[in-house]
Amino acid sequence: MTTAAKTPDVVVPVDSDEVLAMPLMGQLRLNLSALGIDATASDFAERFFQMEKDNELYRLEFSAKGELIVMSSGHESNDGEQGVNYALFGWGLDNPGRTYSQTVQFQLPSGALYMPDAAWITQERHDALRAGEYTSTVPGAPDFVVEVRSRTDNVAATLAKMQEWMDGGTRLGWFIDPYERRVYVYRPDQPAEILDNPETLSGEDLLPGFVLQVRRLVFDRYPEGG
Amino acid sequence: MTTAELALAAKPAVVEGDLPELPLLGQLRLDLSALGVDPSAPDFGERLSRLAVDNEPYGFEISANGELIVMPPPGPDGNLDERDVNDSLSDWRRSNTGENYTQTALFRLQGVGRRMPDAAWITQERYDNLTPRERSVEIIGAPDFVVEVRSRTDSLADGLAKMQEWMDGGARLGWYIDPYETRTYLFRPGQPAEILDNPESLSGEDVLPGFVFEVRRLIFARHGRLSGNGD
Repeated sequence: MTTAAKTPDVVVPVDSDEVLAMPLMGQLRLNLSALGIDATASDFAERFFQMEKDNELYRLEFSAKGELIVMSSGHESNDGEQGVNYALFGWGLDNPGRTYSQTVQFQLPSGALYMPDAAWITQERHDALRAGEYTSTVPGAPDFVVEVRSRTDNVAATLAKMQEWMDGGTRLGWFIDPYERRVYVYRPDQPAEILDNPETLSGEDLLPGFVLQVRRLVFDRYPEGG
Repeated sequence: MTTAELALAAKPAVVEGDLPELPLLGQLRLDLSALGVDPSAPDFGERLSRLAVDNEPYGFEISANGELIVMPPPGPDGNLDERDVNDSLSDWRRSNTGENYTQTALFRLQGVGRRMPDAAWITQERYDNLTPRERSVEIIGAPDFVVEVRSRTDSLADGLAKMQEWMDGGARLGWYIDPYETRTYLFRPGQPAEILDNPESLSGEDVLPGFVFEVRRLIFARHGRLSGNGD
């Protein structure tokens, strides 16, 4: 029998609102250890980067505990990130180091593979990266990292991620929550400092002269009250 | 307040009730081949079963081209249709032969695909010859008879593609019941699917002689009541 049954000859219209183009709302965490994935392999970051390309409908990260984190991608992801990246990029034009937006993957010492909303590494690290072999992934946590809460982000999960950045060696971290108009400032070995509705944030002595107009560039771009 | 307390007190960013309890609303497909995941490995059935235990409440299947399919739990109402199909099939089986299976049974199809049916049946002869591994992990080959009921979050295209995988794997009769369109697609080997609009009942034909499923009374009617009251 060569004529295997094909999809029905009759074309059936489907209500478009019944088909979910994006079945995810927020983060799905999957423990894939049963599938025998070896996250300690030296080429794991490269493989993971390839997997991101194979699954471009989603944003993927890998936690230190070995969970695959699947997130929806799409236009709604973040208005606030844009303002942060714009300001950081502007500062970076006249200052040393290298700034990154959301598309770059960092591998923490814990093995986690995360993408920050905005980040910066020192000129020294950047020079070392350029001198070395090409890799898809920046080794180590960024020196400076920013996360902006998105509509479906769980605050506790994002604060835990901030702590992972800091544990990985980040020297200054901001978690900006536009829905509460609040910023959590992380410095090494200190509890996060909480700023309620600040007008600006300072890059302190790590990014001298960097001032983010957080109220204007982030908070004010969200509807009042979140 | 500490950061932990603030995190707990933080109001949800979305309107109350807008953010679902679980982030997964429908089927999600992931290509894990780059990570070295190999569905053709001899112990992959065992691994897939453990994956499901490690990630409750999600369900997992492997598509014909090796993608991992992650499925949300059906929820209390999501199982009623399947239950009615399974009840009827069990009733028929008790006075006939073979064994029937519900949603928890894993079948390994041709190639690497691994699927779980909403309802299925295999012949007595096949059942008697299952190996110990098949009885505890995954049955090799498609069921002789298989039923899928479209759920609220299923896309029709995915559902029909899955039916095609069942038929390509050797199923001899397949029903795809779509309560949202009050329609059933009958799959028989080597033939295009036959579409029945709002049928009263479905026949097991010569694969399950004497089996009749009252699809209109048991499934379509419930959905009719729901849409009549709910909208």
